[in-house]
Amino acid sequence: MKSLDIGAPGDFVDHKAIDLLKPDELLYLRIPSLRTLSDELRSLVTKAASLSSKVVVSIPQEEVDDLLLVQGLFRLGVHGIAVRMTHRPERWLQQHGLGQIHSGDRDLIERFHQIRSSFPVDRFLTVEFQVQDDTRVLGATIMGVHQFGASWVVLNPLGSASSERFRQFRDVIEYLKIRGPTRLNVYFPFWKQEMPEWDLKTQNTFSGLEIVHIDISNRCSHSCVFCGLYGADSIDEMKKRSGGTLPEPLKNLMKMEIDAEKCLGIIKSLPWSVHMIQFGGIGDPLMHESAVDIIAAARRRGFAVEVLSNMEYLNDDDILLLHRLGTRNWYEFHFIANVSAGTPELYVKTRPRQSEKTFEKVVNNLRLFSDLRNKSSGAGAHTTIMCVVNRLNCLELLDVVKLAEKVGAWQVWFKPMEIHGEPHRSYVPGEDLMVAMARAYSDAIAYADGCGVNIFQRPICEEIIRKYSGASVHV
Amino acid sequence: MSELTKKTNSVPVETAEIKLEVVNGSIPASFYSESPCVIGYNYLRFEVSGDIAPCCIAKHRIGSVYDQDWRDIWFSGAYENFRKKMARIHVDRFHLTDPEWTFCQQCSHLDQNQRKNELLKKNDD
Ligand code: SF4
Ligand code: SF4
Repeated sequence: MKSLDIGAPGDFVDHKAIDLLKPDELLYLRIPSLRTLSDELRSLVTKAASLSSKVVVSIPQEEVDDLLLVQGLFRLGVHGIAVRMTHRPERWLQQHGLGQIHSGDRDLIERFHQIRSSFPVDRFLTVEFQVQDDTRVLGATIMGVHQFGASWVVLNPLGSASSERFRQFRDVIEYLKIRGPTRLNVYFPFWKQEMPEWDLKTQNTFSGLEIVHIDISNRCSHSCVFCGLYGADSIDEMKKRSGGTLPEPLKNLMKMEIDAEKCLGIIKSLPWSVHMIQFGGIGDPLMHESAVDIIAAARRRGFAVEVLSNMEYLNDDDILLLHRLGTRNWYEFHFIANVSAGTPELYVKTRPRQSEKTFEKVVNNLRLFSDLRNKSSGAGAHTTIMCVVNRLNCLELLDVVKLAEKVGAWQVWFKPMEIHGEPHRSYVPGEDLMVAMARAYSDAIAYADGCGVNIFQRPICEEIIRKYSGASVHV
Repeated sequence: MSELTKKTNSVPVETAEIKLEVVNGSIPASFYSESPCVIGYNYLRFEVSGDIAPCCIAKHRIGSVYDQDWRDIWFSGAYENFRKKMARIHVDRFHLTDPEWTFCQQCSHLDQNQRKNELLKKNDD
């Protein structure tokens, strides 16, 4: 959708934009009044309508009842009309209260229904909502209007764009996603200037983009045995396959990182339908020189952020800065720490190139995050300890939960190596270990339940316990 | 975290389905025999190279941010083709036979797809 606010006092809009209109491009023209439409604007509308079959003109509510006026507009070739209506939830809130499925601002919906009934059937009709501070039940109102035939609506928030308002509208969109039809589009053409990242096209929130994964670095200094790129086994294998040395393209791949500017640009341009950005990479995202800036940019735009890392490459200042970007809700900002061991001995065993010092550093980093959270009544960046369950650690899962308890991590994620990938079959726990592994899982879960550490993807653990300890009964 | 490790070769259907059942807890392995994959509508992955992948384990790349604005890629015909293809996975069941698509047997977005499918069903009612 292209949009122009024309004819208003101080209209400095570049009308030449209309010349570039494509035949099926939606053009939204907002005019102050149909009654006072100047000849100049009239010819502009005519020109637009001759170029595109999808010109929609926004007019004040009162004028839509004047059929002659509206017919005149259609004669210029426009496809449809958006009626500007003010959303007034107060009365309806008093009547119905919140906390239930709400029917929205019925006055507005019924008025729209009435307009629709006497409107030419072959013409498009929608609402441009004039939205004041109170955005409650707006979602329900939009749905009501949609039920009476508006396939997309425009929101025109009065006042200026701020992060508070941003959050309010995000809630409206969330509501629509759950309650609403999947094909309804919501446009915000008039905040575009103030918040350039709210691009119109992607502001089609029902594009539905919710989770964005950004790989920022392929570099990593660790040597997890289960790693498809940096595991000693996989390196050996790749060397073997190419005559003793790592092939050049692979070496280049291992050095690759995203361009920081490009990455910040992407973050800035993401639509707000996105609720989470995951940062990862074929290596470790925190290896990137600008990792902290990139993560901060995502948090400052209000996205939930998840970072998958080995958690070594952070200093205390970074941690303090990151801590300040969190909230009490773990979902909004958390680090998934691939530790995959509960003791320094096992850590070194599963990462042959690392020393116990690295383990210490990781533990201290995790602990600093939780100390800071404790000082901020639970707000901050949260941590999940991930354990890729492999042949070497699969019987020592309890230690991982104990480590989580010690460093104040929010949860533990036991991730079977099979879904982490299966690069080195030699490290996938074999059938010989299954019964003991199932026992290790159940001990770990029991301990976690006792100390309040959450188990992420618990059904997977339970399925493993059920499947393999069940087998032991029959042995 | 190595995402590369997620890229796997095809495994026989039966083992893959059993594995899926275990690794996904309560979601049945036959999920994609009954429900479509809608990942193309709600997920996007940018790689370090700037390439765009429509799903975290897909082998397919749809454009690069160094050639095009990512939004144009998201709305492109190629992306639309991916969405359409995945919307028919439960009908055509190509993930069971076409080597290009067997990676779907180890789908890591099962839970996401399950949630979305429930939501879609609700909206259809
Ligand atoms: S920390 Fe991640 S990227 Fe680094 S070696 Fe381990 S698994 Fe691979
Ligand atoms: S792996 Fe899963 S999410 Fe990805 S395309 Fe296949 S079915 Fe869809």
